Amino acid sequence: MERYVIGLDFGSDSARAIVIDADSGNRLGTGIGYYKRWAEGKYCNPAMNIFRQHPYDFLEAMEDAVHIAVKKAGKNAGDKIKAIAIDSTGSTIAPMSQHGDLLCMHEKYSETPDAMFYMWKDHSAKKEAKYINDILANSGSEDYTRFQGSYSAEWFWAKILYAKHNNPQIADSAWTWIELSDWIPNLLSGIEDPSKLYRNICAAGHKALWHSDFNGLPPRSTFMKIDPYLAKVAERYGGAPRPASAAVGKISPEWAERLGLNRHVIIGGSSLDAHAGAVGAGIKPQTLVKVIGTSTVDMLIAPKDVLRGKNIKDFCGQAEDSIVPEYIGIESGQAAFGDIMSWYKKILYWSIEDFCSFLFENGFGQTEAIESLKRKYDGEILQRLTNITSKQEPDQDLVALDWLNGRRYPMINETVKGMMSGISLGTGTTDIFQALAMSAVFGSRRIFDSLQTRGIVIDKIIASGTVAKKSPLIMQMMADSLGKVIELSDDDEVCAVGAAINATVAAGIYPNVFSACDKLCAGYSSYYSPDLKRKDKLDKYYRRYLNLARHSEMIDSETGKEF
Amino acid sequence: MNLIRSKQPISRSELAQLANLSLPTVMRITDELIDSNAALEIGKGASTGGKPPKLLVFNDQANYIIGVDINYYRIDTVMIDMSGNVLAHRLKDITSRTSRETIVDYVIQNIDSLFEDFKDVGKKLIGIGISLHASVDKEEGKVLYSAIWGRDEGDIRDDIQKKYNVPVKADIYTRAMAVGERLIGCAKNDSDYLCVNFSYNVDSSFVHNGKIVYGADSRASLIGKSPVAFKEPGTDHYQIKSLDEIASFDAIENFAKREANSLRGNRTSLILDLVYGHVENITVYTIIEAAYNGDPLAKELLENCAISSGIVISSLINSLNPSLMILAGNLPRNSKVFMDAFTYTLAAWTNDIPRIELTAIRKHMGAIGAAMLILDSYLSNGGQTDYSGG
Repeated sequence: MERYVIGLDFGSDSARAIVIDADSGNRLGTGIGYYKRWAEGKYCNPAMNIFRQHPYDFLEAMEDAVHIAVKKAGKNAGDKIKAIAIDSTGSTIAPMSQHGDLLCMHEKYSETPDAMFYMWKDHSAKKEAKYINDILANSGSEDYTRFQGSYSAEWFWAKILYAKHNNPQIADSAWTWIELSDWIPNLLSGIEDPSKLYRNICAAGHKALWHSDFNGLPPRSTFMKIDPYLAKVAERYGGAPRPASAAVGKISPEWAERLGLNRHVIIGGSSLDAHAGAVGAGIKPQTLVKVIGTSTVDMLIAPKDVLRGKNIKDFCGQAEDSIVPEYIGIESGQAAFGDIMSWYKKILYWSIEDFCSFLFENGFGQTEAIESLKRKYDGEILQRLTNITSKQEPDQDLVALDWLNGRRYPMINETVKGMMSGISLGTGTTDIFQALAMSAVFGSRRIFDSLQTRGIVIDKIIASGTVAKKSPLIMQMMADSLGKVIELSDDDEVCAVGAAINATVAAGIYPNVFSACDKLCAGYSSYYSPDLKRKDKLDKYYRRYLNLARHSEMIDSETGKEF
Repeated sequence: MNLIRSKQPISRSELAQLANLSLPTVMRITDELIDSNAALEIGKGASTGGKPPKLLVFNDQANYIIGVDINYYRIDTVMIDMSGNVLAHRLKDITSRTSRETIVDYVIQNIDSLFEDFKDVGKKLIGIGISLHASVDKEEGKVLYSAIWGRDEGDIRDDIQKKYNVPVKADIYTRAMAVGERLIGCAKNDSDYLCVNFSYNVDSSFVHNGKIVYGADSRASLIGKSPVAFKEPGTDHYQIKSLDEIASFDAIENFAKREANSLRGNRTSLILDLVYGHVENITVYTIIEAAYNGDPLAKELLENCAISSGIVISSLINSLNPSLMILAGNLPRNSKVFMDAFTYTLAAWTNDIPRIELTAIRKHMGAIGAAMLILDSYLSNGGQTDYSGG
């Protein structure tokens, strides 16, 4: 009988499921489920950087996605599923009761955002992150930030401390806190005892600071210095986290029925989404995988002893076994990439909306035709800008900074903002777009150069993600600037594919991730080759980008902003 | 012992001939070696007219040795067999703030962890070798001054010896690295070679006829104090400085910070840009990255370091005539600007540039070389490790 696996990918807006034939690698069916409450903007306050997600959003979306994917996979596909593995955004964490259920599933907290999942991009914990970082980095002769760099407001302990400070009732009601990427596999395998939870090594290492050098988490004494509440949570963290390709358990009868699957499905482990994407793209040592979407994540793997003694915490995070077991997973990236272009589109689109209102105010009817054209234009405006921009030379004076969502790497500073210099009366719409696109590329270049000049060898680059697929202009510019061939992964759902690959290992179909990748990765049918003459031109703009970056940072410090 | 190891399998009569000893003496010695499991009797050789002789081999599995390399940012610990094969290793990161006491603790943790894996093997630990970035008294083997923790009030060897009750020997990193390279690295077929390490100090070691050259006071090839004329970037005049004052990481970083602090008006440098103006964050890697991107100040700084280093090392090469030079450290490894200027200088000032290789980081050269200090002592003392000296 055929052997199928499912990869489940929980993104920011939706969940995706993919069914793959574990032997042939054929993609048999995909499904998407959207987060309904999230789409309505519920439980969020963007002005305060608060983004919460209701767990029912994930469950409903998962059921939708799996049903659609399994239906497309053919008759009786549910009977052929051998394993499911998961990836999700992170840190996306929620408080859990001592009974193993999430607090917001109790009626008392069902509409309390602080009891829901604190989404990865929730930045409400900035103060807490700084406080935690100061203690972790100065803890006697040990520096607990040495593998991840400055502690981020997006991460596990910062969010928990925020909850303690801002909603102590929730904090006190929580027995433990759990990542979304852990909640799903535990839920699907019916693990209810919170002291026996599966935790994935990817999130544990990158976000909760788990490391064998620390014999696990940082010591109790360090957490006590931060806040006794964190020490309590750390105590209840549980046993050693495991990789995404581990087997967590068997699907519970309830979830077998809800998902329409057989009762023998093995529930595999989980990881953060980009790390699964690296697997789906076929990561190997000395291969950089760039997942380029609203933001970017750059990933590499290296044998443990290659990275020892390299002080690279300002340039990337590193965690044991986080992408492929037995290797250190290296993670870097930019806080905004595709989001920069989307932001610019929003700026331009104001005039479209306003013009249509103007037409209406002046007697032209709000017709369906106009609405339809508006929607079509909304989908095409970026491509139209790209088409023009690709034929023009960059403005000599214009340079932009890509820090519209702060700077994650190198040298984190989450308070900095974007900037543009060299605007004149002659600067046009497409010039600005081009400068923004270049700034996004240069942010990638900075990370690439900083890793290479610190001894991280990069022989090959693979790109995936929505921007990588949809923007040849940007991808060519990136190949030119990095001076390297960039191969484009053929998979549209590279994160879900990576999760599916982990599922095959969890099910024992393949002995390890590399052999599963060799069989199941889609490969790369297109690539971008660098134009070295163009690289020389771009290098000049890159140097000006770096100079603007320095001046921007100094302006921030001189105006007394926190950094 | 050395003859058995180098000429194995070998008969007692052959040993007697090569060692210029009487056969009864050789028989007594070899019986002791067999009793202590240092040598094994295997089979019989070809007869040369009488009874076929019994052959002896060196027992490389009888014992094991621990080697520890204490680097600026990591502690590398290996367990090797008597042939120098690495049986297991442990790595531990340290930082510039790690105290000497903590480093000793980490060394002990690494060693204990290795013992855990090998406790049932039934072999004997015959000693622990340590390589350091330090000055070491060769005669007593005492660590005088460590580049990592400063003046050594105690003696790290004593701390380790107390814990494990085996001989502990110490030597500087480049000498240990040189031994490791000869055993398993790129110097296997070279008997005269030079090792140079570019780090927070610049130092070197020289091997002649397969043996480390120590000099009268164990300071041979410690080239950090070598004088060289140096032109500071942006100036026209030369000063005489020591190589460490020019090409050590501290010197490079301090100079770059000084220059960065004085940049005003239209003068700018990627060195400052790459740290977003935070001068205190400038490291040698910042300068390497800036030079990689064509920054004139960074390039000039690295080129001047490379030229000065090249001049000093050219003198060594001309005096010692090595067939090979092995480079270690992040400057040769990660900076093409540095290496281009360095090899150009060598080409200009040497009679013949030796073959140049980079040390292989993953092969634990320093730790293996440190372990070989013990093996050398063991072989020289007939199967006993000497407690004295380095």
